Amino acid sequence: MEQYIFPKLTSYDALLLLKGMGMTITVTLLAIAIGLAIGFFIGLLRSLKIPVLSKLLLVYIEPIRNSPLVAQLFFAYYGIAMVTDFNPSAFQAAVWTLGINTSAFAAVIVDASIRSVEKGQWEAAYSLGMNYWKTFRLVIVPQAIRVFIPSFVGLCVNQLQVSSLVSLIGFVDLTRVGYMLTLRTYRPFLIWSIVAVLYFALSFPISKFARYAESRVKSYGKIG
Amino acid sequence: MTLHFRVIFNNLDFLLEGLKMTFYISVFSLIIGFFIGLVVAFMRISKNKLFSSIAIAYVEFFRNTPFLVQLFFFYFGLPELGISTEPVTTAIIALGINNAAYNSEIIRAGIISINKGLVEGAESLGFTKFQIVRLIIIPNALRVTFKPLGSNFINLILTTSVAVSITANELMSNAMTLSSNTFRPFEIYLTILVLYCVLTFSLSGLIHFVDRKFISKGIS
Repeated sequence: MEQYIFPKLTSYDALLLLKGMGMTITVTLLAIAIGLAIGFFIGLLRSLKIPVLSKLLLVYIEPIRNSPLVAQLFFAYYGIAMVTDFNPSAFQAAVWTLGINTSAFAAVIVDASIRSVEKGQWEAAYSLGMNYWKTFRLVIVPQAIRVFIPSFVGLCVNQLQVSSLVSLIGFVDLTRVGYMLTLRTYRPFLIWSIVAVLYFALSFPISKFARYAESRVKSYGKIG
Repeated sequence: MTLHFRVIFNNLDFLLEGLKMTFYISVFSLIIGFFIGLVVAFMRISKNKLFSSIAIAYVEFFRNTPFLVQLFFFYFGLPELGISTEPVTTAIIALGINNAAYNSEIIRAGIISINKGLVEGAESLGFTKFQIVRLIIIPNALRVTFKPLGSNFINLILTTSVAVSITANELMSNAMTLSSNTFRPFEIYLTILVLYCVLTFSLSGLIHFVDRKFISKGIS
C-alpha cells in the first residue's frame, strides 16, 4: 500500500511566515497611528465636557466599542464597496477599519487620562495666568501620560491580537499565511502552533512592558 | 445607490436562528470560562510553585495569541491528533478556554482584595479551608468582580463572531451566508452591527442595574 507523503515545510515557507509577520506588524502599526491620531482628538474633545458635543462623541465611540470587529471589517470591505464607488483594497479596508476601531478605544483612554489629573492642577495653572494650551502641555500632559501609557500599551497588545481578523477579508497577514500553509502541507497542528508562537513572540514583550509600566505608575510618588 | 432592507425582513428567521446560536455559544462558553477561570485564579495564588507557574503560562499564552489562531488550532489542528471537532462545540470550548484566561486575572484581583481579617475571623470560628473558600472568599470576590466579569462577558459575545471563520452558524456566519446569497452586504452587515450593539448595550445596562440593585448594595 502506498503511503501519502506529506509535503515538508521548506525555507520558502519560513520566509512566507516572516513576510506575514511583517504584514501583521505593518497593519497594526498603521492602525495604531490612525487610532491614536483620531482617538487623541476625540478624547481631548470629550475631556472638555461640552454638553451636547460630549454626548455626540459617544455616538461615535460606543457603537464601535460594542460591535464585533469582524462585522465592521465585512461592512467596510464588502458592504461599502457594494453601494458606493469607493472600492477599498483589502489592505486599505484592514488598516482603516482597524484604525477607526482603535480610535474609539484610544479616545476613552485619552479622556480618562486627562480626567485623572486633579481639577486643582488646572485651577492652579490658570491662577498663575497660563492659558488652556499652556496648562495642557506643561501641567496636564506630564501627569496624564503616566495613566495613559500602561492602558495604551495594553490596547496595542489587544489590537495586535485582533489584527488577525483582517485575514478574514483576504488580507495576507500572519494568520492568512498560516491558513495558506495548512492547505499546502496538511499539517495544521504544526502550522498553527508555529503561528501561535510567532504571535506570542510579538505580543508577550509588549504586554510585559505594559505590566511594568503599570507597576511604575502605581508606585510613583509613593513614599517608602 | 438604492438600499433594500427588505432582504433583512424576508430572511429574519434565518438571522434570528443565528442569534439563538450566538446566545447558545455565549452562555455555554461563559460557564466553561467562569469555572476554568476560577480554578486558574486559585492556582495562580497558590503557594505551590508548579500550580502557579502553570496558571501563569496559561494566562500569558491565551492572552498573547489571537483568538482566531486559537480557534484554527482547535478546529484544524486537533483532528490531526485524532480528536474530531465540530464547529459549534469547538467554538464553545475555544471561547471558554480563551475567556477563562481573562476571567482568572479578574477573579485573582478580586480574591487578593479581600480583607485578611475576614478570613482570619472565619478561621477563628472554626471554618474548614474549603468552607472559607466557598462561603467567604468566593462570594466576596464575586461581589467585587461582578462588573469586570460582566464586561468580559460582553466581550465574549462580540468574540463569538470570530466563529464565522469556521461557520458555526451563529449570527455572523448566517449574515455572511445571507450576504453571499442575496448580494446585499451593506444592508445585512449594517443590520448585524446594529443588532450586536443593541445586544451589548442592553446587556451592559442589565449588568449595571443588577450590580447597583443587588451586588454593590451596601458597599460604599
